Amino acid sequence: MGGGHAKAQATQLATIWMGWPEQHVRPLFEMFSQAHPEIDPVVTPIPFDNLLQALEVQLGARTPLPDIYMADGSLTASYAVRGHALDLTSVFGPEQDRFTAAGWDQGTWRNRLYTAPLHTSSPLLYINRRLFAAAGIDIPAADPAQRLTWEQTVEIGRRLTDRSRDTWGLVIEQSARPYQILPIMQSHGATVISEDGLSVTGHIDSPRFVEAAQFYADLFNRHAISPKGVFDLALAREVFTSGRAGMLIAGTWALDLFDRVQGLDYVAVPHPSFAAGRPVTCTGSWHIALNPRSRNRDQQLTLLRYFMSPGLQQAWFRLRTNPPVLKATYETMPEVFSSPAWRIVLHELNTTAVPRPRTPGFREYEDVLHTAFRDIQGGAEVAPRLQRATRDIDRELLKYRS
Amino acid sequence: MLPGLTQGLLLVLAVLATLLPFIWMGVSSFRDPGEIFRNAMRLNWHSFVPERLSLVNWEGVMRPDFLRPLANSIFVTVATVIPGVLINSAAGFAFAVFRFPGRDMLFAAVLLSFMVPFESIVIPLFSLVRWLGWVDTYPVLIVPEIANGLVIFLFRQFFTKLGRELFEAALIDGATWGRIFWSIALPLSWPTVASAGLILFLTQWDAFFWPLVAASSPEYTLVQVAITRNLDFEQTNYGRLFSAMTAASVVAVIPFLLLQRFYIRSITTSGMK
Amino acid sequence: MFKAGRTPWVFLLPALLGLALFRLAPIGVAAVGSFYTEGLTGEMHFTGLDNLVSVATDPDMVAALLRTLLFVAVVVPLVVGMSFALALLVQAPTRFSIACRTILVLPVTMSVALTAVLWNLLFDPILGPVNTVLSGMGFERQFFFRGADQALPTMVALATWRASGYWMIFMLAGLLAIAPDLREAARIDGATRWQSLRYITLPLMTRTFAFVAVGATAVAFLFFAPILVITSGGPEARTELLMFKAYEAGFLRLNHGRALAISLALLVLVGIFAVLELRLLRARE
Repeated sequence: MGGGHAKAQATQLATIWMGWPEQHVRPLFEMFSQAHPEIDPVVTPIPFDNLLQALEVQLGARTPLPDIYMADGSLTASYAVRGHALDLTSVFGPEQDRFTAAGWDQGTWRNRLYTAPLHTSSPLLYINRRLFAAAGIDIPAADPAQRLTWEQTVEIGRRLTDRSRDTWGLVIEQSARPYQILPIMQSHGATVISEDGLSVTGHIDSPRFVEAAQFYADLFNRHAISPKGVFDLALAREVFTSGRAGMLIAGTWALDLFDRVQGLDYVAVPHPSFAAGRPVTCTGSWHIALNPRSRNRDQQLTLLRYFMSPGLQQAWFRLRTNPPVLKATYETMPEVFSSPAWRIVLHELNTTAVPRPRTPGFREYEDVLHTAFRDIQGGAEVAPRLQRATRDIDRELLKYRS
Repeated sequence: MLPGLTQGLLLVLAVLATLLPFIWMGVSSFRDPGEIFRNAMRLNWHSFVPERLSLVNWEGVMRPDFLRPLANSIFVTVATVIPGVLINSAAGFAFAVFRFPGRDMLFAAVLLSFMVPFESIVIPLFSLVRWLGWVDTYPVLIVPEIANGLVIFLFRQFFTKLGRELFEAALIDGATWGRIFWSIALPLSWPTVASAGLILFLTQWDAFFWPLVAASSPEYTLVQVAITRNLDFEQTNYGRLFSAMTAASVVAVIPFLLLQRFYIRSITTSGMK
Repeated sequence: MFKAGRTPWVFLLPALLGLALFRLAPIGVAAVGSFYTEGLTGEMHFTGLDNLVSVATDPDMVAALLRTLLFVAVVVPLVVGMSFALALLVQAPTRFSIACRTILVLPVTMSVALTAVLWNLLFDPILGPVNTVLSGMGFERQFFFRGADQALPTMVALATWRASGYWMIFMLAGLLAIAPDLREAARIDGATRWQSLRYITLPLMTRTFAFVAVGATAVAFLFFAPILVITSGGPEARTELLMFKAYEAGFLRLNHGRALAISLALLVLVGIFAVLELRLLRARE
């Protein structure tokens, strides 16, 4: 990948990339190589599950490797406080208004930009029309102002669930990851971390959080409208596409996938929220970070600037239809963003999207809470399990207090 | 022992238990991508047999981004097994045959080397190979894996079985220790040599975390890393994954089949205790 | 044992050099690191036994230790027994035996992580083929890795499935090293096959058993990739084994000192077990 290694005089840049399929990664670097033949990015795509651990080893050794790496936006603070990400404020600060507010925001820590956004994400509620019709249920409205409430979602889910035919009401794609689960708590008015990002006591063990977590537990147990223990994203979508679930909460990447599934009659509507609460949707973005120890500062910056250019970002959107982070991308492709699904996404990103909590200990926070949600989904008692998670997270966050 | 029929039955059971997951994986690799889990909910004929034989998953296996890693893995395993069998058998021979100061301490260190959690030494190891300038090269994949404590241990256990009379006789005949090792000890332990080769081969064939960290640019990607690339967080393609896994396993049993001829009783068994 | 001046060192040097550089030196760094706490930007603070003490006094860690001992106590005898039994069954040099041997080593041709991915799908509560067959035959669907009581036993099954064929290879090499005339003689003396196994084969296999036991023990103590891939230590901590806790501390909770302290404890544990097994299985000469 990248542009061959024959160019002896070109400067090689060790680049660790998210493990998207080759046909989604190669074209971007081919574009770059044509524009900058003097730089030769050696691109290593690593699957998500292994990306973070491989980066921990390379960054943990504190060497000039890698020159460039892909960072989950929520890990920006983690890399920043540990000295693994170059401060980019002076590079992109003057152009801040080219970026959407949320995209820019997720690359910052204490008001400095450390990672540059590539694209962001937003969830939709996918509806299997055929199952809805068979159960005589009206298709929910596409208007975000008339989004389903969680209470209605449970009610509809009950009518769709038929255990004798292995059919479920609702499947959540990332059914235990804080990314897609925290909006349930946030819609119920719960906070998920302290202002300074260094403590969760009084937040994830608060009455509001516990009540919402009980609602989450009930989806799988008391109401039993969601199948327990489906933790794999592909399998979760499979339950929906094979017609075994009437509703699915999933990211925009599913739009592309579902369009290719023969015989699937679906429509995307806005993510639910509590009747008495406020609408909240998850969002998270992928960013690019530069290793401050790299010996190729100029080349690093050249590549990063190129990846923040409107041309490349448009090409990236065409390859993989994730919500863009440059305002220009939205403006230059009005035909795409006027579709019903994208209109919902734009509304969510502008009004209801809440990024994952900003804390240097996000990796630890996510890991502890992920395990806790798995247990709660499996039927563990909610309040004590969350108290344990609170204790575990706060113990890990101690190292960031100074 | 048990009667022959019972023995055969037990063996068939064990073989089936081992094989079934592979059969499921292999069969699934010939299904249409949309079909892999379609018949999973209700047991029916198509839970076992694809609705339509599809080669689409196997096209990915035939592409350079899989064949190159496959070739890399073959090269790396061969380049590890040959020197690995030599130097580890020599060390095992020394531990089994000679008395020398510090022997027990050294042997303990050999045992420690394969008991340590690799994840706990990976950061210092990465710093070391970076200092050597080996990141993203073949040596980083090969050299650290040649010396292997488990293989030394294996050879020590088997060389200890050779009687000392054998060596004494050879010494009286004027043979050097090098000659005794090369012409007597090694030829008497073909099954062990073959097993040692297999340990080294499988260790390298299964290698995942180290190659991922130390040399995973496309030029040096090894097979397990390449297979794992099918696990896309957002759009995993299980059909591709299965065809790649099946291909890698089939290639990996070839050396085992070739080595079968070494799994015979040594003819010169009289030297054994 | 022979004394031969410098000769042993000539034999030892290449392998020991490799081990010293690529294994023992990093082990040394890791062992020293367990007495330090790493600051955010890499600076090391000597904190003595703090890491070890905080690990040893954590009730979750004590539970993980006990669970690990249980896991090892079940898996190792299973693997040693299975691999020996399989070796006995395939020792005849027939085509059928060779085909069986080949199939039995298939599981180790997949990396542990991919084995985990495969098993996770096979035993999935909703879409896994095992449950398809169970429910098709009229049984209840089982939760396997997702069930609090079934998760660890399913892990034991995975570990045994993967390891038995592998260690069978060495058992086979051991069996083949036994002179056939010994068993022939026993048979002529009227020994039953059980007696021949008990009094001829087993005593001559002690070194092989020692090797397999020590190797399988190390693998069982270090077992963790399937836990990481499939259960993350759950449900309700029922699959939290020490090696998983070490990985979790280092790579998921970014606490290297603590990870190294757990690793060091593991190394000592494996060492103790290895010494015990080698003592127990010392060839009687």
